Amino acid sequence: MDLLSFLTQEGISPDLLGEVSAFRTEHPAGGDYAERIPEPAYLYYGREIWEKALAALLAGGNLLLAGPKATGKNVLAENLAAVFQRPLWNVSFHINTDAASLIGTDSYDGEKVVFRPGPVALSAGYGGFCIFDEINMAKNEALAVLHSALDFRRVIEVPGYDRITVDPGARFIATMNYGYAGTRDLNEALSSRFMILSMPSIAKTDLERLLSRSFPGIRPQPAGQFCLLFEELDKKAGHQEISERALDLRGMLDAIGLIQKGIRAGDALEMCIVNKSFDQYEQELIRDVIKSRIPAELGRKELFE
Amino acid sequence: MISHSRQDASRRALNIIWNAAGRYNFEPPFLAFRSDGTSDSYFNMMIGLADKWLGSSGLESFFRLYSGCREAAEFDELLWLGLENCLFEKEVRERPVLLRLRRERGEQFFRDQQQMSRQQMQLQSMRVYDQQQARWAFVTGRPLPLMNQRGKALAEALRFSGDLDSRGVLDEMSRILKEFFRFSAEEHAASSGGALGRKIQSLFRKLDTNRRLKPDVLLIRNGGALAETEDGIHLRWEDAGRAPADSSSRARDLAYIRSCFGECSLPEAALHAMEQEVCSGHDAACRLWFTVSAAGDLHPGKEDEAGHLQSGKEGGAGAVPTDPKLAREAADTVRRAAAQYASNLHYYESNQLLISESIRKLSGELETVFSSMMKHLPEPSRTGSLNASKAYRAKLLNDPKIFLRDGETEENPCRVHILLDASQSRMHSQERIASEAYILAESLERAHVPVELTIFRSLRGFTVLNRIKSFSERDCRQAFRYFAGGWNRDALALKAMHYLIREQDLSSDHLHLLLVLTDASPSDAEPFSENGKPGSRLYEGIPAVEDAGLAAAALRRDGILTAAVFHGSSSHMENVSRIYGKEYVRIRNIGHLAAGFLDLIQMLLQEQGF
Repeated sequence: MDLLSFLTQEGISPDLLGEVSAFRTEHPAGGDYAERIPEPAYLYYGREIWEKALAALLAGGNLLLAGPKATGKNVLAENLAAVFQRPLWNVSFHINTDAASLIGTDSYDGEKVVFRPGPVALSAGYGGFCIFDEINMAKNEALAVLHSALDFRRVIEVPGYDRITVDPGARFIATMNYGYAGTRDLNEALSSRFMILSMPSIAKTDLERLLSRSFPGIRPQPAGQFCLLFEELDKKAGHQEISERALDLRGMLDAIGLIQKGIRAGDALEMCIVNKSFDQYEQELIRDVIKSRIPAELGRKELFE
Repeated sequence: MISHSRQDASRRALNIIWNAAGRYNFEPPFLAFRSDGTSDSYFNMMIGLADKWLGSSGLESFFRLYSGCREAAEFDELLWLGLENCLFEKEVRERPVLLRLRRERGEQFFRDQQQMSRQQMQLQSMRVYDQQQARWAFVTGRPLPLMNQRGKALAEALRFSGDLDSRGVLDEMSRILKEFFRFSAEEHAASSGGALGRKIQSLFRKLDTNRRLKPDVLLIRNGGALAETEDGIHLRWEDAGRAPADSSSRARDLAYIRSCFGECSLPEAALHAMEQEVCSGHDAACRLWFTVSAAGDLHPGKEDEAGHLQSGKEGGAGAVPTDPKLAREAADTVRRAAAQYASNLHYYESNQLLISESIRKLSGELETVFSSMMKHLPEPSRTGSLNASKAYRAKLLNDPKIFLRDGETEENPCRVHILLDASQSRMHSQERIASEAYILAESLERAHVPVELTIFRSLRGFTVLNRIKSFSERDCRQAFRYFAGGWNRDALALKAMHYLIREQDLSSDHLHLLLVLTDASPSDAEPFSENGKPGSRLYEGIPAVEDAGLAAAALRRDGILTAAVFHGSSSHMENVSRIYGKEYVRIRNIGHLAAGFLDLIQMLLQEQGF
């Protein structure tokens, strides 16, 4: 399904969708990197967030999607690239991320030293969307090189080479998780260059829709229990009684997939949720939550029609 | 006893309760355990559901009404059976799995029943046991046990309907106590003579061993033990009162210190130089003693089979005092140290999961925090920043490595010194402090931050610093050698650490952090010195706090970050800020240590511009 039709069904403002269509016409997809335009496996549910994100990008801004794990930050970022029909570059930030890994690096072509462009330079040059995944895992000083690309100047200076002008169709979408192990606060200089969208946990009704869309034939009553289980794990992680390892929406979908293949719920959830934690004590806490919602013996017949 | 030995199970019980309640910001009035000490998942879920469906305040007030009476434990068990039925009926519509869990709980009851010994049976309250048997027989479809009419009526009455609201439930509970036990909570409260009466009755309840309960479910009233510890610390000093040692007894004191803590690890001249500089002003009449414990030592000295200290090198302690009384005291100290070491280890083993989890989280976070300080050494590479001075090598020598990039080798310039207050006032929480020191040291080691552990205490005019882990040593379990006893002349300990840090590491590249685990209540039997002699002012209260504050300020002036992990009573909160400014964190329980310590470290490093 074309994402525009999906968004129409979701009740997104027709004005916004009209502007998205105009953007697509103005910045046609294609070129050398057409294969980078994503075809999302999952759709993001949440009308308000969709509208805010579309408006921010249409206004020429860069987006920072901030929120805990399993709030759909990356799903939304990928969905946005698909809606706008832009090639996508994805950079996973880490502690040693530096200017070279973002912009590009010197290289030797056998004759002379040349510039080998990195993902930021490529997306800027080709009008793509560039996702800065977990931007706050990197040191702030390493990100200073992005400042001129992210603000009104929309240029990237490459010392010793040239300056790259950011294509009008290019956008930068960052994701971050406050308090995630290994993260740090973004400094003001960087955060002021983003419009910040606080990502809520997925609502129960949206999660139910996601399950029924991903697994046609799933029975509503046990599916509802899975949604409540996810909500309870979310709350427990939010209160830091367990880590966010077990709060894994993909894991939950995988578990349901396993049950569909004939694995009992207890085993499926053990593989896809409990074992994401490597700590025995934490595993016990997670098992307690699961046990209080899903019978270990639940099988394909009980879960699917 | 329960709250100490069941910390892991308690945390798990709390999590089940909070999960069922749908909120985490409350302390439930009860926790449920099975007779083997593990968390009773089903009943803990019921406790959480009680909060969800009925609200905690009304129930708590009701349970409090009879908390001082001798049958309170039985009433708790019976009324929770009533609540169980009501809450099950309310929740099962939203949580169908409850039906299965209830049946499993019933089956478990009968499995436990078969394994119960005669002694265990005798310890049961039969009133409670009969009702439990009736309930679980009903749930599992077994024939009901033989009961008299009154018992049957009670079993029936305890099946509270799921249609009752919180008022209705409280009325039912009140009715049951009146009808079946002729107990009126209101009359009891009025006749029990207020708080004092309740305390006395509570004492009788504890002594009432003939009716001691050991039921299938142990519903433990939550929180009481904690409330008793706040401000409940009384210093008990077995030594000869607070009288300061006079000069004629110094030789005896030195012999005592030597026999308890072993020989000083510093050469005599070095100790003398340290005392010359550190023991001045208010501490001019004090002495210092510095020992380093080797890994593998269980305690400072050793005893022979008769319980006497061995002398000399074999024992690890210094010369045994010739005075038999002194020798006995020294032997007693050594015995206590050994017993405490075992107790610290036991506490660690009982809470191993919680401690391991704290270390895992804290070390990961610390690694991130300290990573901004790590220095990578550059190494040649095929890509990276062009190293112009080596560019010719590409053309002339076909060497492609003419670029530089950050290499694998890194160094952390931070050094952490953990100083543990081991005075008598910490007696009530020695095991916890040892485990906290272990968590901090192990987490820092894993985050590649060098750390050393030093214990200090003051007694007989000496402030003794015992280094139990040095930077070069990796094994942080040395922290379990911690034991409390003596006074704490904080200022002198801080000054001594200041001296040692400066003497040991002259490198200006290193950033030193002195972290003191303290209750911020300095006091010593040795008074403030005046003109180089013991004066008349006692070393305690505000003057002692101010003295410690001056020592901490001197450390900071010298660029040594000085901070405290505080777990004292609320009455000492002002002291800790007087000594350490805002550089402290208060830790109320071991589970919060990691987060608190991390906040403190981040604040300290941010102040340094990292």
